[in-house]
Amino acid sequence: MSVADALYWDATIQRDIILDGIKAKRLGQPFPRADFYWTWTGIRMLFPLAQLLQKRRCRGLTIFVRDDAGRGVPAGMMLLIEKYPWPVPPAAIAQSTFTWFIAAAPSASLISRGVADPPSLGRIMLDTALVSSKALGLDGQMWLHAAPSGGEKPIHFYRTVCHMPSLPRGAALPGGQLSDGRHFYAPVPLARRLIHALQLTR
Amino acid sequence: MTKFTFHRALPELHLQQGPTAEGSPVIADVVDRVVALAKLSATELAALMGSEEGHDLASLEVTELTGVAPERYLRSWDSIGRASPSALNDQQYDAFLRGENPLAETVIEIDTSEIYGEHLK
Repeated sequence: MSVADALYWDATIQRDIILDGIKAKRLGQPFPRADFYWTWTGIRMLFPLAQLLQKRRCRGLTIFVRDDAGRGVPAGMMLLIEKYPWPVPPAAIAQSTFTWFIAAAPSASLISRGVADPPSLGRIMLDTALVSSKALGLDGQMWLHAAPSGGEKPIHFYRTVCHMPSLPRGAALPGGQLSDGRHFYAPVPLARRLIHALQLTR
Repeated sequence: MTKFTFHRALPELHLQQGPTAEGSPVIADVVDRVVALAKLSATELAALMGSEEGHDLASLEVTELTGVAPERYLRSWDSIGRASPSALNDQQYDAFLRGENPLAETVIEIDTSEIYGEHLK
């Protein structure tokens, strides 16, 4: 992910996300997505610098789809922390990849920008995080937090579609916090299965 | 040079090394912000980003974008390289922190060398 990708996202797709959120609010509904308040330019520039002070590295990735003018349009944005403590002891490898921020463009937003048939990106983005963990020598160990503001949809995706277990509510997290029960993780055997499942499309 | 402006800071920020007369106060603001962010655990910060407070922490307004069509930032499909899953070396990571995308650039270079290699056979 370059800053240019983040600039494009904030100026276009993020505005659509905000408009959708405002419409939902007017109807008295909750914001439909966890990323309503996000700004990818700031996340891309500032958060890796902050992690540098913790001696950790981030990985920013953009997933592109092709528009009808032959250009690559950012359709998915990810910021991973490459090596973060694994919250599920005991484990042979004490580190893991932490999927910190992840966002997929709304289909309507991509269609309005000339992408005829936007693909479903959730599984592809999860695969990207798992493969990154594998390449970093962490054997695919990866975990993430499904923000409460995202509602139940991501919970269903991680738990039912990807079969990821969750930490129990109150479990200790690295940094001293307690889990709200919405932290999902991929231990090595599950990571291998998930990676293998998409091997032919990779 | 890309210029950034924080929502809560009036002067422009020039992301460059070394102090400048116009940039120093804002660079100090950047440093303060980054230090404040570093004091939060990743999970704490992720939770904050679901609120307006999180938006304020991460807000950057890029003056370069003012009056510019966002499509300017799109690239041709053929120029987009597939990211390498390998870890970046220190030089590549410095480039990443400056806002570049060294993951994909590396792959483009490899592809190019392979194409040239084939061509020369």
